[in-house]
Amino acid sequence: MAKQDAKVTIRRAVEADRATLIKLIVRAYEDVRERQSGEVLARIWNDWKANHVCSIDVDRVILAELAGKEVGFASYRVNAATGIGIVDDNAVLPEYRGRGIGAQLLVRILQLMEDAGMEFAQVSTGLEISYMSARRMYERQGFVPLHRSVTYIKKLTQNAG
Amino acid sequence: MTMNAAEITLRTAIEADRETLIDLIVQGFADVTVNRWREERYGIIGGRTWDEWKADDMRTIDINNVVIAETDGKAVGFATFHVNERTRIGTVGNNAVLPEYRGRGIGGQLDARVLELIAEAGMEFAQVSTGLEDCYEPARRMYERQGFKELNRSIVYMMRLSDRLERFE
Repeated sequence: MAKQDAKVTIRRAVEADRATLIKLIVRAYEDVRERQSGEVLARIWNDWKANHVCSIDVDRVILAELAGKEVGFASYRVNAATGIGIVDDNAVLPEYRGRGIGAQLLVRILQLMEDAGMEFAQVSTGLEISYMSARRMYERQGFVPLHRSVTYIKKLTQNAG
Repeated sequence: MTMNAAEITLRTAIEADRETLIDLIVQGFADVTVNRWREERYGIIGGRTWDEWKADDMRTIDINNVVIAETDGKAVGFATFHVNERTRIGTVGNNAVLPEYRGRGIGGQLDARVLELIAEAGMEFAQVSTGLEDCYEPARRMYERQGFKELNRSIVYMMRLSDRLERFE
């Protein structure tokens, strides 16, 4: 958060950004994925890329640009029934982290949610050490922990059933 | 796990069970649902109480993906699941046993049946998420006994937007 972030521009994504955005998302998450090796996570990652990233709704995405280059993104969803806005996937390219770009994206997302009539915001992130800076960023904006969870996995035997 | 679990019958739910299942999910989750904690902290969300929000999970699920546990003709627990053909990972979803029927292994039987159904659907892995809070300890122990290994841990944060600490100028 200490380094200069004055040149960062935040803007809404448009349809023409789609290809750039997909590349950005995949690259920004690559190091997280590498830390979580294993067959199951590789499948989840490939499924997520195929299903989620490639069909991303650009209207719910904002981009951070530095010297004309896209270096980070954040996405969100709103739910008119609950009044809860969800901060979705968001990431900054590894070499541009630590400059407060993620926080600038988050502040803008929260504003967009409020503009859309949301009363609350919710976000999920990992509890592992690699997500520490994300957790700190959310807490600094005023997010309060609601629930902690664990995901388990089990390989099924081939002849089951 | 000590009491007799012999008279428990498991079966796949049918459409006629849906109202019973809605009662079961609300009663079974009354002491463990995030929806309720959210309401306790922030008040009623979107004009509906936590039980109405939780009931939606059961209103919208494909009934073929629900298993019911019955004893003496009374539905006392249920478990739900989903399958993903692309990843071949099946997910154990909402599942609960009525408070007064806990500690008899009914949840373990439901979980074992759901794992069979997931395997029969051609899945290679089963996945399940539960809470890290104390009230989920029996659930965590049950999954660990079934051979589940920890994959990752996560946290959900929430805030009232008017409480946020920085504004976009």
